Amino acid sequence: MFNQFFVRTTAIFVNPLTQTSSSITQPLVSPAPASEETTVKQRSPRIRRGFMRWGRLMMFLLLALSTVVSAQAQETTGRVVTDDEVNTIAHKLYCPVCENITLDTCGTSACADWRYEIRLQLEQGMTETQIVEDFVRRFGDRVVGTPLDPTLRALSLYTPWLVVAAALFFAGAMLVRRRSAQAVAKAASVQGENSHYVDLFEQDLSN
Amino acid sequence: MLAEIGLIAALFAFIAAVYAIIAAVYGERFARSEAMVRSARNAVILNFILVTVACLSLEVALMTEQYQISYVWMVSSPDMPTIYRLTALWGSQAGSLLFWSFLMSAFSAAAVVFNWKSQRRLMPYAIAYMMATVAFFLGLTVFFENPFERWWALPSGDFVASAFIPAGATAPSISMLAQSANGLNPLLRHFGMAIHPPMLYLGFVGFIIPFAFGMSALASGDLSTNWIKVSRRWALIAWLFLSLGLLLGGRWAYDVLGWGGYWGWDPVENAAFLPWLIGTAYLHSVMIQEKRGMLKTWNMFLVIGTFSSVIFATFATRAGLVDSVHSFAQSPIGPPMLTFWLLLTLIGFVLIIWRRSRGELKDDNQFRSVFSRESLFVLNNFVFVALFAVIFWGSFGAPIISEYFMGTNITLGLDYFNSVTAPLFLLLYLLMGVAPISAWGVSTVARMGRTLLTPLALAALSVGLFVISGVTNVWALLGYGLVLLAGWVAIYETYRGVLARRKAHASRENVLQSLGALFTRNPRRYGGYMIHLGITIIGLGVIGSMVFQQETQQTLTVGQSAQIGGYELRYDGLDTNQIADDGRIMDIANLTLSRGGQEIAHLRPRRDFFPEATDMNSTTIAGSYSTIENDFYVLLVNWEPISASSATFKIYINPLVNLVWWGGLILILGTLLAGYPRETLPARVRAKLELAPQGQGAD
Repeated sequence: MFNQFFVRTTAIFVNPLTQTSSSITQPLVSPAPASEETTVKQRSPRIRRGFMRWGRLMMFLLLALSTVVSAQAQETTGRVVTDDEVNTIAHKLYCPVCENITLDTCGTSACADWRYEIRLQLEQGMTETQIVEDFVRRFGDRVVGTPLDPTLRALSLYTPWLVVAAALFFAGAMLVRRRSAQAVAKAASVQGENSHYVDLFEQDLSN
Repeated sequence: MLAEIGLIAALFAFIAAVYAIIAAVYGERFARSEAMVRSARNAVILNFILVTVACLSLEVALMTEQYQISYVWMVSSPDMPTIYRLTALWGSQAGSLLFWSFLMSAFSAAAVVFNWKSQRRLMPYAIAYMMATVAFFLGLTVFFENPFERWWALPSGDFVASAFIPAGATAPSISMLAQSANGLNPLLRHFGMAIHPPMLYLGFVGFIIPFAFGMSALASGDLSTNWIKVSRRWALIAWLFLSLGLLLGGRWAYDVLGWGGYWGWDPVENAAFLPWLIGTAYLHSVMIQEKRGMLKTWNMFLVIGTFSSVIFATFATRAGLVDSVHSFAQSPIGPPMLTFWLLLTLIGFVLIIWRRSRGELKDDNQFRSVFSRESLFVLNNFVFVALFAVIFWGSFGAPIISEYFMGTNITLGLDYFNSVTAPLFLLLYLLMGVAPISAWGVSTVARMGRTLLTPLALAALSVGLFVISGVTNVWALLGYGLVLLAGWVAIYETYRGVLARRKAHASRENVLQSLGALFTRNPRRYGGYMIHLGITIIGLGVIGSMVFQQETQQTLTVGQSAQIGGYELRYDGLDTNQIADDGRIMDIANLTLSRGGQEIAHLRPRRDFFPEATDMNSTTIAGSYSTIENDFYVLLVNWEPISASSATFKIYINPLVNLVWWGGLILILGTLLAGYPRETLPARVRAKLELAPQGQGAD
């Protein structure tokens, strides 16, 4: 447990953007109960010393308890996380600082830290979705291959298809218009041919 | 001295290009002077000679280690091997712009020399458009990104790079400059650097010829098939180089970038792919104009769109529009490049609209059948353009819109590109299978069905073999089926051709002779089938390597093994701090690969560290074992710093990946065949035509 605590603290120093710091420092700022101190002032010095000793002991126990509780809250699920599990998630994330490189292949030390962070999150029992959402919350939608934000996601995924559909509709409409123009021209030419015969017929009649 | 020669040559090349534009347009449009147009032609050739001199000056400076030239100092160092010194010419922005201008100038001079007689009417405007582009790029070289700037020591003790001597400045010592020289970016120190960028540049700049002739047809009003005849072959040459460039780029990424793949949908990769898509659409649709006199407006849009996307790709890569492993840094050439791209595209489209409004781009024929070859080609064009649209959107549209209008940076990655492009690519393969068997003019479903029966049966049989071999993924099987249909149609159509010839010449020809005769008589058609076959093989490789890729990362102690996909990989130790001739420090893992209990290969993946490099100073070189079935590809990820008793490896098995490269080779052969000049007139007639007055000769 100590090792894990140490490792986490180190991780915070390596990457100040991590969110785990508040829970670790929490025991150090636990306030002592104010009402107890008020009561101590009204007793005799001996009793007061006894209460103070008890008070110190209680405070120590409280601190120790809160540290244990906090550490337990941080404790991993105990399962061993493989590199492949880390890489599966890292492959879905893009390096927040590099150029369009997925986190699993990026060679920078920053990305190595982020991969390590994914490992810790997996050890803590976080799911893939939770980890991805956590990265998006901290670094924005540029760290995922498709934005999680509903508006951006819709804009990204549907716009090209709308454009393609519009182009198809436009092309279809052009084709229909052209075919109908052809049909009209054909009918006109047939009518033209007939009118020639009608003219001849009328000429015959007039003679 | 070399800097002065190079700078003066580049400056005069720029002046020659500007002169060529003025002489060509003034001579043709206003003075009606043949002498002026000839003078413009000579200026094009002079421009080529001068740009060659400028390019050679920089190359000689690189080879002779003239570190006082800031470009040489920036991209080379004393311990760099000759090959990288040679390729450093295009290793950074300024040099590559000069090299780009050189290639463009070479293409322009070749087009003027080879097509002067046959395309005399189109030539003046073609010269103007070609030289306008060359002048623009030379202008960038001379005024914005000058590769001939030299280092100067100022009296204050500072150093400054300048083309001219600043007041009171002195030249610093070369030995001091040599000690601090940067050297080429480590990622560029690969054999691929010698061939991939030149191929890609040739592909890019080659499209200037079809573009210039298309624009010339619009400007001059000669909208007959003349411009199509001349531009098709040049477009094919450019397309060949661009295809080669893309394939080699994929191979380079596979070898050097260390992520187990060859195409990452990176914005700059995509930028290079966009002109390929539009160019391919053009090469198909131009056939409709040649055969049926249709799609005149559309072809103009495509030919201008192709070159416009070339300039856009250049702008995106060089101006820092997108972040990418390929892109050059932010540069002052962004605004002029954007302006040039917008102007070029706008002028082209305005000319098309103007000619169309005058009824000069009216089609000679109409579509008569939904299943005719021209209809299917239009559908094919639609798919290419749709691919262009979705890739453009994913690479540039969505990220730029979200950043500028919504204040959010987004990345559209593999998920997006795989999901939107896969159905379109499959539709393209279906059309590749169906279109070659349809007839021009009118075609019926029944007729097509009869011809398609055998290839369909063969494709089904092949898919059956995949099922027997253990492939159960329905989407992969569907993909394989469609891809194989396209391939079988190409083979079947060639077989039918051979059969027909054998019937006619059975007594005189064997099968090989008949096949040879087919390719000689109709290289365009059978070269086209060969290209389709190449694309089929590439498709099989892409599906195999994408859908069935296996991957694992494991930490092994010395003597320990990892198992994946029937292979066993044993870690034998690490050779640390090995120093190469060029100063690189290498950490090399020794691995033994076995299969079925038998040792089959010793692999040595490594990490190279470049101590003198300032920016990206290490590369990961994979160890791989290739068979027809798959590639076993291993990367050294990490190791115990001192003892090297354990090391971490990332292992990939990429099924059928080698088909991508072999398919590429077939595609190149097919393109060479399809573009091979064919004598259509007997020698006697040609001799007569050559004696005829100028302007009436054969191409």
